[in-house]
Amino acid sequence: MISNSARQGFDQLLHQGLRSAFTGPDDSVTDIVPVASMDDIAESLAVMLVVSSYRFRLMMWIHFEPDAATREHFARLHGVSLDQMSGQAFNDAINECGNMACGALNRGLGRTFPHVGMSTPYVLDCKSLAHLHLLQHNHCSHARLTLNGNTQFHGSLAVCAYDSLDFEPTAEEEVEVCGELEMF
Amino acid sequence: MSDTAMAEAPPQAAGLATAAEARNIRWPWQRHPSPEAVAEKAALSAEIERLRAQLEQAHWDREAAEDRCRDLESAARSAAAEHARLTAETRREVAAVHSASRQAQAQIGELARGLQELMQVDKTFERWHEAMDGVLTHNGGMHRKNDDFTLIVRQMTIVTLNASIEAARAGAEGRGFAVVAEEMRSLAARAETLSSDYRKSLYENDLITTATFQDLQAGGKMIMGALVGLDLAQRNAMETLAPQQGAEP
Repeated sequence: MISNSARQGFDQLLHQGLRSAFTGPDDSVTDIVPVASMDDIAESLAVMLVVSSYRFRLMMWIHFEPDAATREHFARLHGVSLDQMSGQAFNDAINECGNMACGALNRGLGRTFPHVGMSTPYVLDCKSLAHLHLLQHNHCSHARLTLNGNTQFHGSLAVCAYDSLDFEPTAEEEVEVCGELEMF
Repeated sequence: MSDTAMAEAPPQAAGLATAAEARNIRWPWQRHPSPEAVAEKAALSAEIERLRAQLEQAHWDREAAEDRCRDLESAARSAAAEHARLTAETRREVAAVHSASRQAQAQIGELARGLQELMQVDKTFERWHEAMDGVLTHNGGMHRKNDDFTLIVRQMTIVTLNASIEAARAGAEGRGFAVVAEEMRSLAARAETLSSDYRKSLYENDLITTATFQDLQAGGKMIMGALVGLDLAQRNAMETLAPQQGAEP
């Protein structure tokens, strides 16, 4: 139901999304590699978003740990102090991160599918993601982004197809630093 | 002297000529014309012929021009009649186009009102959002209650374990108490299993509910996007039709 080309396209869009969401002007992406299983991802929380069409629904997760290292990354990304990047500010930063990643996917998919819509972000416990099979997806992939040689973040996506999906992966986009914070 | 000059000799000369002929006398005007006079006469005759031909050609040209003029007048009358017919037909067609345009504008206006109505579906999506947010908040509450329940069950397990130890210390007198403690420990173990299953169900529920909620929300955005696109298309169609109304005769 989902062609190999479309699977590659989805995975490529996930990579683009991760680049968009985590890369600041001072960051360099060391690499983005596929991860075999959710078991290889240690973070305890994930911000989830959905891109919907009448032909498919795509669910995307940005995994994160609300620890000092993550807060520090977002503090640097937003140009604020570590103390300021806590509580609601940290939640907003995580949600915006999810919005940017999913926004890149949404834009990419919009080039092939004329009618798509994107949800707002919601933070889930990663224990929920152990039950991903309940969503009866047709394609699932995970990726690890390494920034500046040492900082790692993970992203996942799952696609439920309600029609045959086939499209060509597009060339990697330039990283967009603007946000796409959507409020319902 | 030319023939004409000789022909115009005085009338009394006729009588003189007759008399002269009788005496074989030739008067000056009866002499042979000079070669110059003959050549001049020939040239004049040629010129007269040329002018006569020219006059005849001019006559035919004039006749042809008059024919052409009559044809052109006829064609002009036909063209004027055709122009009047086409003008009337064009006016009828323009009127029909304007009528169709007004009808189309009325229909587009109806479509626009329908679209504006339909855009209120946004409120339905907001209502779903609130309801689903309530469900997720409720799930969170159930997580907390289950966590409390798990703590209680663990405490119960510890208490039943202590009870079993105390029953063992009491020896034969504590045998009945040991049975009760064992039963309580068994119940606590079952409660712990139940709590664990319940926690798993809550996590499953979180995922399914969130995925469903976000699918509804994203689907709503998709529908709103399509409606906005249709609204823009009808506005463009209205703008395209509007100038025609201004140009109505």
